[in-house]
Amino acid sequence: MTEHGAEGAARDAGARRSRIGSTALVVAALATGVAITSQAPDTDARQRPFVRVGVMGEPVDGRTFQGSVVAVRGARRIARSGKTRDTGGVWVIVRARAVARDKPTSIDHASVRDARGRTFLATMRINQPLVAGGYVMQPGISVEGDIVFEVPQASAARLTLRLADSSDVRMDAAIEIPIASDGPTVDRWLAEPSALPVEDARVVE
Amino acid sequence: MSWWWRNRWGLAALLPALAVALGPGVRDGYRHHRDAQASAPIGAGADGWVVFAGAHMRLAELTPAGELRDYRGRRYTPPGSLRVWRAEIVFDGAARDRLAICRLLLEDAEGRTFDADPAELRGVRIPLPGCGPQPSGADARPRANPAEYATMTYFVTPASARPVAVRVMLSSALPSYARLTGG
Repeated sequence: MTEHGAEGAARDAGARRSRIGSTALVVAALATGVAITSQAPDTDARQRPFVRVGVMGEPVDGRTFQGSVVAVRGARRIARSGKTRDTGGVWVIVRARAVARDKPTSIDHASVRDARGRTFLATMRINQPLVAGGYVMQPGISVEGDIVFEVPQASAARLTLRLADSSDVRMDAAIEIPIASDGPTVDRWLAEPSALPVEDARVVE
Repeated sequence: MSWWWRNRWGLAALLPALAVALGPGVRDGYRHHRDAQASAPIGAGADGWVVFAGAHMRLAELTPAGELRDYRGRRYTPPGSLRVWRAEIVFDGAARDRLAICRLLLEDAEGRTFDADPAELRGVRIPLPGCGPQPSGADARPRANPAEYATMTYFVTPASARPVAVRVMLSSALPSYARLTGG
């Protein structure tokens, strides 16, 4: 082999090593990307609300408002605005108290989640007194009102209430309060023949 | 010659390239967020008038409301924890068109804001809030200058709140808003 031939072979070997190295780097970068995306949370998880959990009777901070659950009732029939409405499930009526922090605020998201993870929004079959645009709270003025949900009987005993000031709760504050009752209580609600009145929201002293 | 050395210029250009690629988006996002907030109050000039959106306005009076009645003529007494406030705002004629869809807020000493026409006053006989002329009988005093008109707006606050200003806002003018004080 001549001197020039040996230099050419060395250059070729160097170039081949460089190509292999570059390819390995690209493959490693792709593998790293796949590993990261497979481990990273999905869109729902990334944009989940910032949930503050409380208990019944205690105020919970929802960033723009404070909310608490005063009582939970249930019935087969409810009365609102002079009309009675039946259900094949259970009407769950949450008496909630809320106060806006520093600007006019409404509770535009109200839902309950059952033990199976199913979510039920506040019913649209009636005009909700407190949520879903029913009431704009002024700062520092405590308001109490009913929030009405229609849920299957099997779900009614173990529910968790979620409230937020925006109907789209992604990446926003939300409060959650378990409102668990029990089977006999639900049976008692359903045995009550009279319609349960849903009252207007009102200022509490 | 190492890989790092051979690619030194590309590596050095990475950071500026990232800044150029992401910078405008970040800046636009910040500007969009800032412009959606009422963060630039416009106060009164030396003559006591606030000039906002091409119209002149001033707060003539901000006092606890007197006797209120519902639509059946019955006296309305608010809960003891609340206080009802009445704001009289004087506008010049230009406001009639330029502030047709304004929003009015009461601001207290803690910086909290309160809506006009609150739910607590449902059923109470008060004029609809706004920046346009109100129908006669809305309590506003007639003006000596025919080019001006006055409006009455009612707010509800906790009894302990101390109002300091009325804000006149237009969504198209944000982040600027008129901040009327005095009265």
